[in-house]
Amino acid sequence: MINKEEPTYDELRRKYTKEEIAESYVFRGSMSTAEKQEADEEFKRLRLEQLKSMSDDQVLQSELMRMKLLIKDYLDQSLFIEEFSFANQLKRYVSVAEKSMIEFSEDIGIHKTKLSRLVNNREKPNEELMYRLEHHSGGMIPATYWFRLFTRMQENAIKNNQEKRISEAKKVKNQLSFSSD
Amino acid sequence: MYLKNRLTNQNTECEILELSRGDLQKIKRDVEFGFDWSTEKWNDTYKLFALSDRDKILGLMSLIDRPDEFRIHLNLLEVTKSQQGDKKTLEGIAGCLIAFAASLAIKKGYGGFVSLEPKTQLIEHYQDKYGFRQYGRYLAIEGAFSISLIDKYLNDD
Repeated sequence: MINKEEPTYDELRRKYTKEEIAESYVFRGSMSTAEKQEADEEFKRLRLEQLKSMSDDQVLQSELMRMKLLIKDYLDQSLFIEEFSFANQLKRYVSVAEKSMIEFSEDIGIHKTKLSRLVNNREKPNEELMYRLEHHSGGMIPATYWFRLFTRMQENAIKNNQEKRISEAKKVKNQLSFSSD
Repeated sequence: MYLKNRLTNQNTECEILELSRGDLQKIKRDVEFGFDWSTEKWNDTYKLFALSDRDKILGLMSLIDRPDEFRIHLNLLEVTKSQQGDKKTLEGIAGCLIAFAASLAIKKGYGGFVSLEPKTQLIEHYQDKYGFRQYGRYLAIEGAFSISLIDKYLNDD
């Protein structure tokens, strides 16, 4: 068992500038219980005031960033999750942007029927749409994210479509074969 | 995410992961870290390391989730001794860790709100460097400031 002598601000200050300390440490709280209780009450009041005063734009920006980070986490792993299909994320985007389907189809210059087909996964998105979505989000959600959501969904469909695999195999001649020796 | 090497000007790719029990044992014996991190085991603890040397921890951070106040509290952060002061070679270890806390606070639906209890002498530096502002005796970052911190330190699109 090794007991460490924890560094204190005053000790560190002998070696480093304040800026250097701030770039290397956030110290544990050092308030007394009574001080902490008072500070916590004040903090809670200020925090709730700040929450109430958030503008619609601030909420939207934060929600879009949330959507982006969650998509990023999803893309960083290799599984397909239905919630993160292109169609479901497009539906989510429209909801986060607080637009009706008609308003949003007008925003991105496509017919409302096409948008409906896209969010219901009855039509595949094209590259142009992905650029438009990126621009609509003010660059917050890049076109490449939309593309990767789509390709992940496509990959999953190809992996699991046994019916098509069998029917297409029937159209192939001279299949390469390899001995197992 | 990347850290910039001050000497070569090249980027070093790094990652942040949760601390394991094995890590805590190792840190206890590591002279590069001065705090007793085992006392943080009830909190959410993270380590930052370069992908080129996964065994060498460059920075540590302990977070407390406060869903009742829609915030994450940064309880403790420490950068490895060899990367402190004017001898450091890598820029932005603490920045990456704080930006990571902000990204968690965005994902949890807290609007990127991260609080900390500062040493009075360091308040100005946390404000200037990371965009924190004062909430009574605490400092906090949120909203657009959190987003710009995430863009600055974590964005690799």
